[in-house]
Amino acid sequence: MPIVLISSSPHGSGRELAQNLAEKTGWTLYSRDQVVEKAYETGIRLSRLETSIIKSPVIRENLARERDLYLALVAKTICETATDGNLIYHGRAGHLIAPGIPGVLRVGLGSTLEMRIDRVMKQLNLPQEKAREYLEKLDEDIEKWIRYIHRETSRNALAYDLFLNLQHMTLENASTILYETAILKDFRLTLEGRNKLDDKCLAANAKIHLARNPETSGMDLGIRAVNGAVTVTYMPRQEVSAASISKALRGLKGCRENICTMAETNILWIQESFDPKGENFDQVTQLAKRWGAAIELLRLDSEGKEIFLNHGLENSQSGPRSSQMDTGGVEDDDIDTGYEDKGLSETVEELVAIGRSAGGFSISGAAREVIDAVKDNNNYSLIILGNLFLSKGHETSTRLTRELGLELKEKLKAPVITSGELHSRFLFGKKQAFKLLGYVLATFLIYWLVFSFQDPILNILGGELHSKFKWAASIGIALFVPVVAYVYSTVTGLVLKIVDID
Amino acid sequence: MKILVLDDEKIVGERLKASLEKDGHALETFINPVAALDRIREKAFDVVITDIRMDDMDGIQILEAVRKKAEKTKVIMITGYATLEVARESLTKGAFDFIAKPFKLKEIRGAIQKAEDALQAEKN
Repeated sequence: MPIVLISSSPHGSGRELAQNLAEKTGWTLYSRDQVVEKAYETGIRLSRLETSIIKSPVIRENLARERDLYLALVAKTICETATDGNLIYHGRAGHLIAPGIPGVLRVGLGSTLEMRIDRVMKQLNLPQEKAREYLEKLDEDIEKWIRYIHRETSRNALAYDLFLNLQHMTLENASTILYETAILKDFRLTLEGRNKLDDKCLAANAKIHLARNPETSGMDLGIRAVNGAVTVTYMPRQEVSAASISKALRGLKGCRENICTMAETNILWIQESFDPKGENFDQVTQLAKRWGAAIELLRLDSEGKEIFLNHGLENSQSGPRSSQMDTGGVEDDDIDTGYEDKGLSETVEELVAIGRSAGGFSISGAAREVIDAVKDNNNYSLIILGNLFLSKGHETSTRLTRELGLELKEKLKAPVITSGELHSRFLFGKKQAFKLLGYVLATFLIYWLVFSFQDPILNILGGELHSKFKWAASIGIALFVPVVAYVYSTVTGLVLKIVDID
Repeated sequence: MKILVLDDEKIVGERLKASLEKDGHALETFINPVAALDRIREKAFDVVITDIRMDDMDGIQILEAVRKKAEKTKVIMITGYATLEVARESLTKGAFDFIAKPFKLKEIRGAIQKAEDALQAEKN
C-alpha cells in the first residue's frame, strides 16, 4: 500500500513512468497539473507565484502566503487522494511534497539532456537549438522554484529513496524496478504514517479554510493538527480575531476540536531600515528559531513629515480571491504615496516564508511615537533596537537609542538590547568559542593552582602566615572569590548558550 | 502605438482600452482568436496583447502566427493560468513579455513602454 512520489526534470519521462506504473498496479495516478487546476478552482493565485520565478526578485509581491497556500493545497490533495493508501504522484519536485511522512517512496528520475531535447522538439515543435535553450532555462527556473518553495535543492541525494537513470535503462525496466521497490515492507504506510498524513491533511485544510474566510484571510497563523485537534497560534495583537478563527474552523471536516492560543514568545525588532539578506536578519531569525518565537518589525521613519503613519502589512492582499471576475484580472494601480518602506515588506515576506512573522508596521516620528505605538500586552520576550536616529549623528543617535531602550524596558518590562549586542548576548559563534576556550583554561588553571599549592594556601588562611598577616588573608579572599565566580559563571553561561538554554 | 488586445473575457479588453487609450495608444479589442488573427493579417500592429487560455485557440498559437506574419510586432502574453513551463515556452517562442493575472495597469504600461523602446531601437 504505497504512496509513490515521482520527480523528474521537465520532459524527462516522469509522466510516462508514473502512467506505466499505474497501468501495472491499478494504483491511483495524480499529477501536478491536476493540483494546478485545483489551485485555480480554489482561487489560489498560482500564476503570480509561478511567473515570479522568471521575473525575479521573488519576494517583492507578498507571495510568501501564496507559497504556504500552495504547499497546503498540495498536501491536502495528496492526503485526500491517497485515502486507500495507494497513490502515484508525479510532477515538479514531487519527491519533496510530503516531508516527514514515514513510508512514502520518494523517487527521482534522470535522463540525458539530449533525450529531453528530442522530446521537446517533438512536443513543442521547436528547432534543436531553441529546444536546448528552453530546457536549460527551464531547468534553472525549476531549481529556483525548488529553492523558494521547498527551501531545498533537487541535487540533495538524501531527499530521494530511489533514483532511476534512464540513460542505460528502458522505461519498462525502470517501472519494474520501481514496482519491486514500492512493494517492499519499508514503503508501506504504517499506522503512524497514516495518522501523520491525516493530521497533515487536516492542518492543510484548516489553513486553506482560514485563508478563504474574509475575517481571517491575511493573518499569519501557526497551524498544526494532532490526532484530529487543530491548534492555531495567533499573535497577541490579533487577539480580537481569535473568536473568528474558532468560528471559522467549527464544522471543518475531520476536526475533532480546535484550540486557539496566543503566541507566548514574541521579539520586537525596531529599526529605520531592514534587509532580509543582512547579517542582523540572520542573527535575529536564528534566535527566533531557537526560542520558537515570532518576530514583529517596527520601522521608524525619523525623517517622515507626518506625525504618525501606520502601515500595517498584516492584511495585505493575499490568499484566494474572488474579485478577479469583476476586473478580468486587470486591477487599478495603487495610489502612489511616494512612500518607501526601506525593506520592511521584503523582510516581512521573508519572515512569513520561514514561519516567523508577527507582522510589521511603520511609524513616522521620534522616540515618543515608538513608545506610544508599541502595546504593553504583546508579551515581548526581547526588544532589539537596530539602526535608529541615523540622521542625528553617531553620538546623538547612540544616546537617543539608549534612552528609547530605557523607556521601552520600563513600559514593556522586557529586556532591551541593541542589534550589535545580539550576537555576544544570545548567539554562539567563533568569538564565543575562543572566549569559552580561554575561560575553561583559566578555570582549570585556578583549580590546578588551588589543589597544587594547598599548604601555602592553608597557611595563609589559618596557619603561621595567617597569624602574622591576618589582613592579607581577608584581602586575598575578597579578591579571589569574585574572580573565580566571574570566570566560572562565564564558562557556565557559554555552555548553556551551546545547549540553547539562555 | 497600435495595439491589438485579445482576451476571451470582454472585460479585459474594455479595461485595457479605457486605460491605454488615455495614454495615446490606439487599441482594437477582440474576444475571438480567429477574428483577431484575421485582423492581424490585414493590419500591422506594434503590440499584440493576448490571453493564453482561450476556447478556440490558445495564445501560443496566436504568438506563433504573429511571429510568422509580422516579425517586428511585440507580443505580450497575459494569463491567469500561468505555469513556469508555459511562460518559458512563450518566451522561447518569441514572446516579448509575460504577465500573470491579476496584474496592475502599471505593469502592462511598463511592458508596452519597453516594447516601444525596443521598436525604436530596432528602427535606429
